[in-house]
Amino acid sequence: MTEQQLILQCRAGDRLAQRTLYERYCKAMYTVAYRITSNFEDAGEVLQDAFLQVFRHIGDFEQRSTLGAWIKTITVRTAISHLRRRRLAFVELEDKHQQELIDWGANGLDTDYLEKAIQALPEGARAIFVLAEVEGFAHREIAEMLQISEGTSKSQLHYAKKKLREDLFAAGIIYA
Amino acid sequence: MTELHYNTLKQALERLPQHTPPGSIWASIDQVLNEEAQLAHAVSALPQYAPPADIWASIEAQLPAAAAPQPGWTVWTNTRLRYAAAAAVLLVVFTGWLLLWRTNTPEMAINPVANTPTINTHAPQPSTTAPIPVPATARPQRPAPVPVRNPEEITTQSIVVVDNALLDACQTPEDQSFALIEQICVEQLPVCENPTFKALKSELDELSSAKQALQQALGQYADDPELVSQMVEIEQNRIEIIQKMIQLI
Repeated sequence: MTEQQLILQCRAGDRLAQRTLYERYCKAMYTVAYRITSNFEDAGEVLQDAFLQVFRHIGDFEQRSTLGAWIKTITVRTAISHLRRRRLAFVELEDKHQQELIDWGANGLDTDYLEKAIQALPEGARAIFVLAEVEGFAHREIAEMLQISEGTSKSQLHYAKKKLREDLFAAGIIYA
Repeated sequence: MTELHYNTLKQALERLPQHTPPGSIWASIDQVLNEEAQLAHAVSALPQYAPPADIWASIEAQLPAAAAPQPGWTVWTNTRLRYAAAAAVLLVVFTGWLLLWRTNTPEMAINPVANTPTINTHAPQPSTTAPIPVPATARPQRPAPVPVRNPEEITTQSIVVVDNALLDACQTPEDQSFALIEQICVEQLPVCENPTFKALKSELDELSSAKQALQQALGQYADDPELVSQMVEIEQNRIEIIQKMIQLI
């Protein structure tokens, strides 16, 4: 079934098509939700809420982006909304953070440990790191979604990277 | 931000694992969608109830009086109507100017008798200064003729369109129909005793007398438009009466 057929049948309320759509995108969206919320249980709630919104509003999808990008935006916004309920906070930073050099080393990184290090980041910095470096959103988009300034988004991203590098160095993943 | 070996981070991020959601999530989604569909179906199937008939009367009684329509404003906001009105005004102005121009042009004066170029070349006729007595039937709601004193006054009068053939008929002494009726009454046929016929004959006699008086007043040139107009009306009335009398015969 093509994406266009899937969209049309989902608009008609075809449950089999809805299930097909869910199966096609659930892993990617669940993973995004998990990386933003840092919690599988929360990620499950976000995924359910996000797909219910997708099926309720698929009639409004104007196809100016891919269906996957549209669903991902809904999932990210739902996850951010979920974080806000817990009072999403950002670490207060000094201006000097923007000037520090970060060296990731030339030997590669252990992905399992990197995943754990990402989840260990403070909530606000983690969300921005995931959105910017993993999901590819621009600072302008992140600032709009999180209702912060672009400068805050950039400085929080730099802080997240610096913190990650320190954790990876402390674990012996990166050598000085 | 300055970073060294950024590709190391990028490659590691691309290798991050994907996570599979528990199967219960779809079951939850499916349950919610079913409940929503059932609710939507139930809502759409809810019955409608007709309100009591007196509710509208109560509503209507509390409504403020309808604002007075503003047809002028609403009409003139229509661009097409504005153009049409402007065109109509221009047409009226142009027609008025044309009539004035024609009235001021001597060649446009009426002269059915001859092709004499203008009436201004003739001296005013003394006989036209006095109104000619005309029977009531020959003067339906028409004001008294305006005496012509000099050429300048002529230019201020309205143009009277004259049927030349009819005017010729008026000036023809041998009116065959009239002569026929005169002959019938001379022979004293029974129809002449009919009261209606008698009344018509009396009217006809009056009109004939008025016609003769007008013919004298018009003179040779028939250059008084008002008198010409009266002559035409008298002749039309005479024709109508003669037709009625012929029907009785």
